Amino acid sequence: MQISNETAAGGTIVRFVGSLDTGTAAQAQSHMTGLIGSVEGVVIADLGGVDYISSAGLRVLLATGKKLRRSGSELRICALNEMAEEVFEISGFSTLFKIFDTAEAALAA
Amino acid sequence: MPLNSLEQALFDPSRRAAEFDASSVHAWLSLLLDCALQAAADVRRVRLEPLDVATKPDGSPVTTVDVSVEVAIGERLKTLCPVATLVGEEGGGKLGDSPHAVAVDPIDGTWAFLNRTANCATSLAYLHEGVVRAAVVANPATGEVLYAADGVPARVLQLPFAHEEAVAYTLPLTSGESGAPLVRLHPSRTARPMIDRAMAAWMGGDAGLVHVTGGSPAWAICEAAYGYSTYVCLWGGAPALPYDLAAAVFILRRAGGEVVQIGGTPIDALRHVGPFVAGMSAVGRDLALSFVPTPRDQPAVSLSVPASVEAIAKVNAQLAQFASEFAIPARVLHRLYLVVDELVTNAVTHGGCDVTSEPIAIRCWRDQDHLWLRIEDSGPAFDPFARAVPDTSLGLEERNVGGLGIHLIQQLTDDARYERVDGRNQVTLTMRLNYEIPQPDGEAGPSPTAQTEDDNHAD
Repeated sequence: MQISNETAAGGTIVRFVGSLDTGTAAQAQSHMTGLIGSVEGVVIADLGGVDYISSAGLRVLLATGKKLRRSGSELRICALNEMAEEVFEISGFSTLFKIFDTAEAALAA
Repeated sequence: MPLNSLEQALFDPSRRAAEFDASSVHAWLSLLLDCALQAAADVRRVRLEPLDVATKPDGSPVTTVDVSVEVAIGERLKTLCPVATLVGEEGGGKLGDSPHAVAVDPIDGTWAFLNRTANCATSLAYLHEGVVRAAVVANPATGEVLYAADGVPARVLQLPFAHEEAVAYTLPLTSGESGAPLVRLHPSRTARPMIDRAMAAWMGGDAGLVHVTGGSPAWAICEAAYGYSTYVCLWGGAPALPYDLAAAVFILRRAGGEVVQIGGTPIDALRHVGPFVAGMSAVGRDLALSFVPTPRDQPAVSLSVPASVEAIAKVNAQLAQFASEFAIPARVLHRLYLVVDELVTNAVTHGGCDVTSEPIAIRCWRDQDHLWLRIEDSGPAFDPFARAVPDTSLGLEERNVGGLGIHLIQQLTDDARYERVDGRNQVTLTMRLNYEIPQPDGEAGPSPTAQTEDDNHAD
């Protein structure tokens, strides 16, 4: 999985490309943990390049969301594909996080 | 055979009724014939020209002539009978919007049309209160026009080349059985066993001829009404819509033939899904039904992997290969990835399996309408579906993801079951590949996937 950061006014956009599943969860978790405390503003997980997300991927987002909140920040999600949107709905994650169509919209909110 | 008065009126406007009488099936049949001839002429005119092709959301092609023909029929209908509904492929109304409906497919067998083969047809049906009363199917390439109506026998009209007279015949063209049935098969990616069985029947003399051809199912059903061939189509994926099969099935039935599904019962042509056989003779239909694939024939992925999360990537690679070979839509493949990830992870983290255990066996197979995935491990008996459903309404701080993977599996599949078989845990998941079945009032339309169009009834 490829993960890249982009610093923008008001936050950091983290772009994921690949599958967010058991095989990539550890990599994604350590990347996100590294961001906490070291970035300004909100963190936006851009999942536009993610073909599917399993519960292991959800676990990463949940842990990151909790830690960011404790540090006074927030995790926002954007660009879910149809499958990821369904997974978010089923798991209740769509009410747990603020979800946007694009990273720009997530930053502006 | 000379033309009857209805047919003569097509070529001689002075013979037409001055007023359109919407209560007369005869009037509707005349209208359908008139529209069909116009549409077939429009299609025929551009047939050999370079064509402008767009792609529909489901991946199937549509040409500008598809759209213009349907628009032209819609306009004619609006002039003659303003209350009638046009039910068409390229955008139109639903059955039930009005007591009078005309279902139109400007070009059934679009792929065949684009390949400049003759297996395409313009199909029109008139429905009163949701029941077909008159139908016309015209082949723009060959100039054959078949029609029938309540009280009107099925006929074929052969349009004239220059200096010829049009001729017409009552269907079927042949009377009675004559030797071993001729069978026409519609290919699909899962049709190989059917084709093998048909070829074996031909070699053994039980089938007189085996012909494998794609194109318009409506046209193939019409040709069956001639009385020579029996047509087999697997019609996977989407249920038929009113403009797909209804006109052709009506004509075949008026000619004395039948269209049956597995088990031999007649199909509901307005919403049929699954294999069907169309033909004049029961002998031909029974022979053709014996070729239809059984679950045993279905293609499968079967592999054994060590009980470790590292094996998931290998399984996924095999599933991707299977999906591309057997037309599994991407949305289903992504569900497969997810369920494999959840189940293998579960077996390793909760199920007491590790790399020293017996390998995990994974099998995945499909038929026309469903896909199955079965995963077996040798860990202690453990029913993953016996866990409580997680509370997905809790807030961020209270949430954890325990049990969420299993909950996702249950929600993303149509059936998920656990069994303990021969000392192994066996989980079997079922996913529907087809579209939602439309309700009788036609509320639920097809959702977009490319699977049907290019897998089966190449339209």
